[in-house]
Amino acid sequence: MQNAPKIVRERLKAATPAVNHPDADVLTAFAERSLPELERAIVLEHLARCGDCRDIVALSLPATEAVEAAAIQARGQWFAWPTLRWAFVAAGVVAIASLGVVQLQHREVAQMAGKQSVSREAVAVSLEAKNQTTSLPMVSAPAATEQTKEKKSQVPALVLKDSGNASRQASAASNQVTPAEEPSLQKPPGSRGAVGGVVAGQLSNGPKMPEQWPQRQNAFGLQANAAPAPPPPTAKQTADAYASSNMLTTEARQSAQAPSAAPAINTPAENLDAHVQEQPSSPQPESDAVGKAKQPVKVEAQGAAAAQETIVAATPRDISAGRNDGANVRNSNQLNTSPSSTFRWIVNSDGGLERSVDRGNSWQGVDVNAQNSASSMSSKLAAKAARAKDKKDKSDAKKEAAATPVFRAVAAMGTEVWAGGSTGALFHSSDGGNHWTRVVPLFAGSTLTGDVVTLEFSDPQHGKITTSTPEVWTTTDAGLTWQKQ
Amino acid sequence: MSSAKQLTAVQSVVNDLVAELHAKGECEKIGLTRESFAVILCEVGAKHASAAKSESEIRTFFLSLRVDELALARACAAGHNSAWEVFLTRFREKLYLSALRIAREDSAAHELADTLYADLYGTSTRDGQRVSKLASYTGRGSLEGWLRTVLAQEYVNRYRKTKRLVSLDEESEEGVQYAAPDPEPIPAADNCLVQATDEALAFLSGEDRTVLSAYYLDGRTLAEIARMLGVHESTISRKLDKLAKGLRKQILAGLGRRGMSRRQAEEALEVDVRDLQVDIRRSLAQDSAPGAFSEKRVEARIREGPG
Repeated sequence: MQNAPKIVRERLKAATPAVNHPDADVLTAFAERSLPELERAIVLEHLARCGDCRDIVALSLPATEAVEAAAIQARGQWFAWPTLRWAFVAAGVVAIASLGVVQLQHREVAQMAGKQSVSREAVAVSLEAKNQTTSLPMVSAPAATEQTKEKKSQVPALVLKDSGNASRQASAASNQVTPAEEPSLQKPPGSRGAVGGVVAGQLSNGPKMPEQWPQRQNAFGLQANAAPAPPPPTAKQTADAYASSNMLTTEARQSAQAPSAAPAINTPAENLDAHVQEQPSSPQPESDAVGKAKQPVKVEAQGAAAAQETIVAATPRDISAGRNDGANVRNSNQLNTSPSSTFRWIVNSDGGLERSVDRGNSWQGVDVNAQNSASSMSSKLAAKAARAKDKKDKSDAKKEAAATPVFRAVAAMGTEVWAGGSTGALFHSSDGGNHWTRVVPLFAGSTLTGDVVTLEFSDPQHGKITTSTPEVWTTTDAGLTWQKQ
Repeated sequence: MSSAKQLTAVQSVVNDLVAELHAKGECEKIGLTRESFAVILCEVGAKHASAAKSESEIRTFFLSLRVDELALARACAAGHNSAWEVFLTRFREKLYLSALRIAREDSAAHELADTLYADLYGTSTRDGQRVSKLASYTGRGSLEGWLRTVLAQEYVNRYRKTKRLVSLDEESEEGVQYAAPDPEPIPAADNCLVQATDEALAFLSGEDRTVLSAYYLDGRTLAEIARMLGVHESTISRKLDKLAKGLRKQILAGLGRRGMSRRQAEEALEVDVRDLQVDIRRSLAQDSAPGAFSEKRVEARIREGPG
């Protein structure tokens, strides 16, 4: 930048001093650029000759403008060509890399699809080979039963009839064979409690299916022997992604046709679903439930226990198999009922118990009495009770409101929730607050009568209650027995 | 428009707009009635709307005012406690921070802010009535900006006063009493050059001269000047470069009109006594004569002697 001659500076300094300084209002408006043009020109004319007013304007500027100016300058630097050209280069590299990744993914998907078709063809071929010989190893073939062998014998016929569409038939045959193996396929090996389990594996890894079949064969040989007659192949059956639903549809058909052994398999599965809905956290038998108070009895717990008893004959893989059936339906049920780490519990200012399932974003009131009563009734009875409740008089409603305890303390550890309140009210839920049981601690002939002030549970087994009387009650067996200190 | 007509026009516009502006300024909350607010608006209009040529311009002027802050300031000036509570809540901290930024020192900032608070509250009285500096706020700019401007004015005034006062102790420490006498005054520049320069400067706009003054006289940076004028720094840089080239060209042309040739004009512009940088040491070294004998020759003779 070229400098002005020094004579210019001298003459600027020697300019006539300015008079009639603009007031603070005008200078402020000038600094904020809210003056009309004419007035702004007058102020600038004054500023050209008045160093003090220039100083005042400079000093009165807000500090934030410096930051904004720096930001504008930085932004300007970002959009300068030397920086932009490297940005273009980087963008080109990213675009090429993303194209490469997309193509790689397409290739992988194509390879997987090819492998699946090869596996299906291999299965069809192996089935044909098995039909011809009886001593074929079962490693690459589904579990064989007399009934399933009959079905298999039918399949090759299907395959042979139309050799023109061999690949399609092979895939159809493999899918058709799949229902025949359902008694064993219903109970694929998988980790207990796994959501989706083999279904997920089937969905994502088709080639794994043959590997799992020998496991099923070993584990469920008995069930395989008792497998029902294979249903006729249906056109609905498709590739691996719908194997589970196929199992369900043919399971329903088999339940009508299957021998006595089939219900033993199907029914537990149905009961398993119910059990899963109610005890989603862990498929433990009722006796193993942690921290469960045993005073008032839960009907659903009994039902689940009954279901458990019928499953005793089956291996634990049956349980997970039952779980894996109907993955789509089961998953939603599990999501609805499985308590998660996002549950929060509070006692509000009115003494009501509230629960949040979304980490505190929203809260819902919990009525321990309503859920406690519903736990012992069917859904129809529960609906009737709700209607009857709505029709009650105000006095009845008041009575009902009076019966609702005023809570003072709540303690939760995962699914185990304890809530205590006025006049010794103590409630426990082992399923995250869906169902409640009233607990009445007893010790040496005396019961808990004071208001529950604090609840402390270091683990589901060990807990301590402090009352307003004051009394301290402790338990070491998840509330089955209590000691008063 | 004559002053009487202007006042009438202002009054008329105020009567039309007072209800709207009174509501817009939330005057009821701070205890300012419509009548008193109308008086305030007339005062502001008479002071600043004198240049307006028509009622529409006056109306535009009133509608551009920050009536809410104007109402607050005038209510504070009138001594309404509710208004003061609002004022202190909104501006107390900002005032101190602005003072700190201006004074760059905590104690000076506190003193500056406290002094201004006293003026704003109206510790001085006139004719038995409290005089508050807030009464001079007219709402043309933001109240916060106005407070910063008033702070800056107070600071500049203080600095000017303290600059005139000289400490004798400091002078003795700096050795002022031993300072060399002032050299001979530098001869003034050629009169033609001065006139040509004045002519060239007169052709510039106020904004251009403000930029030149801020840069060359005040020593402000391009960024600071850009902030003052609300433009980008690069704009100021280009403007200064353009102005420097243009001024040189205009001054040379002016010198040419005064009878100088091109070369004479360039010499007059460039060879300014103030621009001369004479190296005294070099000129003295060039003036001294070289020695008759070199030292090396003498040493050689001494060595050869004993050999």
